[in-house]
Amino acid sequence: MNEMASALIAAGPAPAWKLWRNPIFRRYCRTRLRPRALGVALLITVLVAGFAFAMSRTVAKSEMGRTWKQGPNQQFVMEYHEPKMSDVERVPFFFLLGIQGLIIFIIATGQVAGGMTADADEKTMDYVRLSPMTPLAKVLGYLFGLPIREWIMFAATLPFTAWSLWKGQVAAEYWVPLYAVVITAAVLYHLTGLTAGTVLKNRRWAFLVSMGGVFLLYSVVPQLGKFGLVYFDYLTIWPVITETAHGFMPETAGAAMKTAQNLMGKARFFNLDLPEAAFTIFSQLVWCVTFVVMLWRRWYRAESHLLGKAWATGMCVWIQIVLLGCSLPLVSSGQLFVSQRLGAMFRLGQRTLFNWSPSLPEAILTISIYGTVTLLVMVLLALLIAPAKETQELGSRRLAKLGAHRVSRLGDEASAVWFVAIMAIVGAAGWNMFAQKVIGSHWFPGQFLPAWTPWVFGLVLLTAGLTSVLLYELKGAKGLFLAVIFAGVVPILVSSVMAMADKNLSVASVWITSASPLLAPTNAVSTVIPDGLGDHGAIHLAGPRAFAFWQGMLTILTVWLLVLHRQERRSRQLPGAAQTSQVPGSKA
Amino acid sequence: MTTPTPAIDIHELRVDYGNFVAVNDLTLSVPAGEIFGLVGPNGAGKTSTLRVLATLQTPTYGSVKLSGIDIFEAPEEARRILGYMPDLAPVPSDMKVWEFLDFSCESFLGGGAAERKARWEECLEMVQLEDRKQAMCKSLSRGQTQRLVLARTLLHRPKVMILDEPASGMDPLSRRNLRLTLRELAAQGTAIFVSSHILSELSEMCTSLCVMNRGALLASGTADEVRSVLGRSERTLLIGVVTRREEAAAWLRNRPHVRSLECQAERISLAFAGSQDEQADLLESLFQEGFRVSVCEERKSSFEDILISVAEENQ
Repeated sequence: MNEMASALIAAGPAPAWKLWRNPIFRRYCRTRLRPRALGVALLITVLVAGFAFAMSRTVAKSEMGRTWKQGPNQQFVMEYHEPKMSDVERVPFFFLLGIQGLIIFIIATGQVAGGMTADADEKTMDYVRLSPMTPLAKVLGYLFGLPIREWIMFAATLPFTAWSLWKGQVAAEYWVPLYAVVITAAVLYHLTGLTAGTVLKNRRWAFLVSMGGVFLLYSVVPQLGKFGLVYFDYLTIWPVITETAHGFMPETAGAAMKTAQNLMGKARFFNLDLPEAAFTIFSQLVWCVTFVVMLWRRWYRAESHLLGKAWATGMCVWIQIVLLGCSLPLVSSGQLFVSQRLGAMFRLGQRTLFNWSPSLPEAILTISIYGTVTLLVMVLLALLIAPAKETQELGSRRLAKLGAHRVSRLGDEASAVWFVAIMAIVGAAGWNMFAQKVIGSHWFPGQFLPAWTPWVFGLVLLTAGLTSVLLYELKGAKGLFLAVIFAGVVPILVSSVMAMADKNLSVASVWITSASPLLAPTNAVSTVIPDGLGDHGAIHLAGPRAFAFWQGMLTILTVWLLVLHRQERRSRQLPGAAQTSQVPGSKA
Repeated sequence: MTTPTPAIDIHELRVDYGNFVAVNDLTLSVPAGEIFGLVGPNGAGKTSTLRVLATLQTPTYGSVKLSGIDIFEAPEEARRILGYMPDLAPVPSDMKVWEFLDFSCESFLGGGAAERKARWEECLEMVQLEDRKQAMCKSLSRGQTQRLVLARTLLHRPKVMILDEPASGMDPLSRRNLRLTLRELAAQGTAIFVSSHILSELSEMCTSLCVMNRGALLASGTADEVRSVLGRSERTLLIGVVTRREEAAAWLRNRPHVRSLECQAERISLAFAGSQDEQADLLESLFQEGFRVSVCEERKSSFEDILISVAEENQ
């Protein structure tokens, strides 16, 4: 052994927070920043950003100076005068922001997911798993290392942006919060990519899923905001852009936008006067921490569930709080309702001139969407924590060996049934509160929800949630998938065809469509507010009856599955001392 | 006097995949300085055992300690003293040889660039890959890749090395070097746990062996002890008789413990199932009968024979 080698102090790898000494981060700094590849990437970035900057600035300069005036012969004459240069310089900013978003949100997220899967695909991830670095250091190394080239490309566009902000005299109070949110949003999307890359085995799928996820987040999810679930807007940068956009716009347009915003008013989280940027950053950081926890668990133990049972239940509670907190303040002003939100897009600032009020079907739609989203979130969280049959069997064998009585309730092998029940109760409470506030608002005088509403909502969520998790625990993912297709989707498709084919089949189609648990929240809301959909004779009567019948059937199915589940668990259990056991080395 | 802590201590280890029991209540220990070979047919549970030892897989139950460290309680601590070389030795496609080693060195040891360089150069020298340090990992041949991953395994001077098929793809010279390197490391106190299908080599390299089948331990000990437990009790004796060969063959055929006999051109080949003493008695009687014996060679059951018979039992 030579002297230098002997001098190597085996102090172990650097701590997680020293990113610049993180071996994984440094590895990607080497491999992803090789001069040739980086040079090409920078050249393309600078060319595109430079072109967008120069072109938008030039066009703005020529267009903003033009004005049309009516001449003496009733003809319009174009006059050109030198525009205000600060206005001209502000124009390229939004084009540059678009390019930056493309680089840092879309390309980088795909790169993170693809790079992670590549490591798994080449089986070199085991080397990282074997290194004595902490799980957090591994997560941070991949998180900031994999997209390092894209961060450099992003940085290459910043001189153009800096010029635009400086010469455009944009105050720091506008661009600082915007870029803070751009960075937290980018980290959040990269974490989704990292999680997709860790969970999915196929490189191409990971790439597509993560990029599709970002696309959905910016196209589909914000649409939920129009239906009252405005919290989902805060997972994007739109709220901050909307709040600060007037500061980046040419003065006249910016002032108009500011006036419109003042007219529109803005309700904040539980009417607390939090700045949009602060609440957006906070919301995104909560999800960032959750994703880090998921990845931490996977690095600690490869077979772990992505979330622990307590954390998932906590997330369910948190989601209800933020959904309510962001939505309820919008009820009194009417901004919660889709007709006003869509209307506002077309007649910005003029809404007060119209005698607008929401309709009851609109309220039913909003409450139904709230219930459906609550149901989907609950099922998703439940499936993250439910043990597959194989996991339960391993747990039973371990118990038998140790002579223990039952697994830790928080352990991965324990059934998720109790936690799903808690989530259903929490979800029903939130859903009921939302419905009460909407129907009890000044928009719907004389309307009220019956006292049994929370019980109906609770039953809907409890039966759908428990059936999903019991099917998964008893029959596995395939069993659940088939049930979703045949019991959830097929009835909707069949009834849609029937309703379109013949008007006389409408009642039958209502009965068939009500069989789908996916529509149970909508049917429940229609049942508790029977006046909402108007009187359509037989159809009007069929809806609540079909809902009651199918909900009864689902309840019987849930009870039967619970009995089966209990029998199966008992058949696996051996008598032993009343002590608990966990997977060797596992953390609850 | 206290018993020294074993380098590898496995107690009642069980690994299940659904209803398939890959490793069934395996208990064994390997002292420091030993090269321990794990032998068994496909599906015997070797790789599952190795992956559990390497902290890459959680077993159904059981305990594993490496130099006294419980690998499930303190996996990061265990990884500091553990070197694992997986089967088919994967390498990253986007890194150069030196970058791969430097990255691994940094992951385990930290330290400055100069110190790390000195260490990985030392390891590259041990596996004779110094001239390929600037090459991309993916451009290496199969054998060179194996040697590179071996160098990576040696970087942090592990107390326990777990090697899954380390010699596959290596040329004879590299195999000999591997054997010498492992012996040198064992002499320095490193415990080496090797799984291999190249059985002749394993028996030469290892100081002790164990044979697994269907997740269970069939035998363990030195090569001779394993042979005596698992090998058929009979062995082949090749006796060179100078004159009266036919008569000697007829005489031998009627001796106790002689199972079968074949008279070849130069020698008589017979399967003998008696003990070593009875074998000595047989040869002494042969001399006393006046037969002139030029040579007597004993052929024990090879490991290949043992494994083939174990695999046949599975079928």
